[in-house]
Amino acid sequence: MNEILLAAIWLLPASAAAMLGIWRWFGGSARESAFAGVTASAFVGAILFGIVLAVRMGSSGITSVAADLGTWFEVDHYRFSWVLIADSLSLPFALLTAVLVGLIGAFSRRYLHREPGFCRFYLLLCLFGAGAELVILAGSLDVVFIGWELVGLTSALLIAFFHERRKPAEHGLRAFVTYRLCDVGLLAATIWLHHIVGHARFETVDAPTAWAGLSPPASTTDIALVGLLMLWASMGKAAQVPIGGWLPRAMEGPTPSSAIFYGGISVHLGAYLLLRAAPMIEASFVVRSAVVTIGALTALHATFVGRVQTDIKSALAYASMTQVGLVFVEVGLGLYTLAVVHIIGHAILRSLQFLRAPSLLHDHHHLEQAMSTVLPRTGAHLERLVPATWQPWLYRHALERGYFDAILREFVVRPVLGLARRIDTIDAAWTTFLARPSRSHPTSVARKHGS
Amino acid sequence: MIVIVPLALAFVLVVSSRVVARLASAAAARRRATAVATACLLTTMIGLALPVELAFAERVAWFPHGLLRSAPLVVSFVTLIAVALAPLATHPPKTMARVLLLAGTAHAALGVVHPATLLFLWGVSAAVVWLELRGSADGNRWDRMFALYHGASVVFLALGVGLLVGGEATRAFATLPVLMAVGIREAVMPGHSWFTRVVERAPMGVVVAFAAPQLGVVVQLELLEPARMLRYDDLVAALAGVTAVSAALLGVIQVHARRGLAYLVISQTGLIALGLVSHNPVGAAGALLNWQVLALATSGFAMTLAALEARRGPLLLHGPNGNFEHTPTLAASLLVFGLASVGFPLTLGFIAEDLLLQGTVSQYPALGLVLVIATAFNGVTVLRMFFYLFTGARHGLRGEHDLSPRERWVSAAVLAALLGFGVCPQPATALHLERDTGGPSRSR
Repeated sequence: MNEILLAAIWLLPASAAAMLGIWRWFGGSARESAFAGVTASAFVGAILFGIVLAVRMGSSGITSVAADLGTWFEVDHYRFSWVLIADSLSLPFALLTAVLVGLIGAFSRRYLHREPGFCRFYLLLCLFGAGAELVILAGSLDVVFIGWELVGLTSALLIAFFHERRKPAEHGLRAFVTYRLCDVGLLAATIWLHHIVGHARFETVDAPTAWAGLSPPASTTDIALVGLLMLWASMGKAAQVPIGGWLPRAMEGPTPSSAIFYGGISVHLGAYLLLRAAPMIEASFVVRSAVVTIGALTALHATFVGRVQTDIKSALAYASMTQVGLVFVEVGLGLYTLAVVHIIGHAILRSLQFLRAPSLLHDHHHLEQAMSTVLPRTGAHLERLVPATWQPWLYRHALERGYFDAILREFVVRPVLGLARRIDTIDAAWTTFLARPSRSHPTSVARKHGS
Repeated sequence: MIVIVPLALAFVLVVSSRVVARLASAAAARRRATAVATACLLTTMIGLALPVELAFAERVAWFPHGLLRSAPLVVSFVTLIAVALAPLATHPPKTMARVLLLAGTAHAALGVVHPATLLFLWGVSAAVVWLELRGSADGNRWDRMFALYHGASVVFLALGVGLLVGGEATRAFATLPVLMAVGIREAVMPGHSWFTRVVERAPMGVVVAFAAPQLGVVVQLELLEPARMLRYDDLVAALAGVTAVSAALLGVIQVHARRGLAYLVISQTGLIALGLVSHNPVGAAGALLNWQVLALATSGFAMTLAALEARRGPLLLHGPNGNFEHTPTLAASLLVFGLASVGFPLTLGFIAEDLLLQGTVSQYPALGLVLVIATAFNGVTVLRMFFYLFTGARHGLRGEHDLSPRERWVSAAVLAALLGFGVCPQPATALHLERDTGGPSRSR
């Protein structure tokens, strides 16, 4: 029974996405109430099943439920099994995801009313919900990867939601490129674990946490390699430095999707992955140090840059980056329970802030009227701590977003793409040479006379 | 060795191509070709579902066994995609007839398993494409460029076949010329340059019918696998890895959609070649499934691009220059075909990619990890094409119409196969598990 409840938490959003997609493909009507209703039913169902499962586990003293949904495919010694896990890490996150996606669905019904892409938004929301639940409930890295990709794709498509403007499409592509390059880490880690251990399941044996995690392999080199690959994978979704430049650009998407992706769930999935990989991180000083360093640098960078933003959604994006950076530091220092509480609290607060962002001026006036005075500036006490000689430099650094985008563009993207363009040009010239017109051909004669 | 079903399908397709070539209207030619392709597909599906095995002769079978068992089904799917989604403007009756002829040669290569027959069909299929490339509007002799590459490929294969049939003394030396022939045909670097130009110039149906059946894979499995010969696995693996990664990177920078598509296909053929030399069941199943994905998903992607091109003209990728709202089903179709072709989860492509990477890592660990980068770049190429072709302002695209009912149903059938086998892949993977390791041929 517990296994069925666990599977239903993922299957409901997945079925809703499939149903809405097939319906639209065959030209089904685009009634807003139907799309919103299917989405709401799926996530309310997921919440109910999650609560019942939590109550059953709590009342019977079970700390972990694993649902083996069977083998997906099998060739020779290699087998891909669908395993989901509900434990003290995944169940709160699964419930939080279902609640937040359900709320965003209810909010968007009015917010996106009569928007041309209304149905597309709900289809992508269901797909995102299914992907996020899969990442959270996955019992192995293999299953994580499936949800991970779904989340990345829906994120990019929703950033480009207002597709008639140029920038959303470009920023959606930018986010997808970052995701895809970072997904290399997750896929490579999974394949390498299969190669050296024979599986990539989360296990409870010798785990330093109260939940299942990745068991470290025997060799320290392998631990460091897999740990660093996992860190690279998590940096993409969590928008950590130096590759987090896509996050403020992602604010081109509709506000409800910004709330659920970059305030609530998606931006925390990187940290969630690290929590599952805690035994691996614990076993390697190199990986631990790297996690703390990346997190601390991101927190510092984002807090400075966030202070010079002139629009509320960008400021909120950098605030999210700061908090996720701090969560990375907590994970690196082994403060796992604190990290879990931090993620849940931050996800709820930041989602609310994103949803209130379009009403910011109204809220501001409301507060000023209530206090009968102008609201005081925040953070002035922090500015006083920075020496005066540093302040102009820090200000420039913040305005240029830490120069990270420029550095990546000049020293990574441009040389690689330049090399590719050079190869392509040579290749095209070679085939043009082979296909040059013969002397007797009319075009060739015309060219000769023309010159 | 005679394999009845593909041979019969080859006969039907060759006869149909003669009939279609004589029709006056392109629409009638496409209708007739679609009917024939549908009949071929249904015959193959029913035949594979029936548990019938011919017993009267040892060297006669209904379907190929072992790794090539699903090949007739794949070729039938490719034929249907290539003819049913072909735009009329670029596929007059003669071109449509050539598409059917190319499909016929692919079936024939599965129907008669003999080195000399393979050599003959190898040459015929190249000649058909060469005919299509003659008389380029820009005055360049693309047919000559194609002839140089494929003439060399035919010569190498003839040399390899000669050494193979020459006896035990010469057989050991046949590997290199056969591999060189296959390398050119499959556009493995450095023999790849012809392919981008053919994709740019030739009608898309011809490109799909020529490239997707992967005659090179058939030759490799029929001629090289069974024989005890000198092996160059490390060299092939290195070239295939370089091809997969470099083509994936080159695909990202293209400004012409057709050229981007060409590099996507080249990258995938690199992956298939690598899986075939991994020499373990996981890698081989991954390679064969990748072939199926190339045949279904990438062909669907290519023909959807052709359908869009017929509506809009040359497709450029300088920036967002389309509109999703006018053609939502066409856009969704292109996206799902593209994602399936690059191994997106819950499609057949994911299973193919997963098996291929797992199989490759066990044989070539470092190369397997590098291949992950190729799949990442391929994904970027697909989404970049989708964004640049279907986002942008509405202006000037009012007349652009969505998928027609014929296009919609054919796309739905192929997508159903890709997603259906993506969710329940056991039938697709099981087709490759009856691996025949003993005899001189993959068919029995």
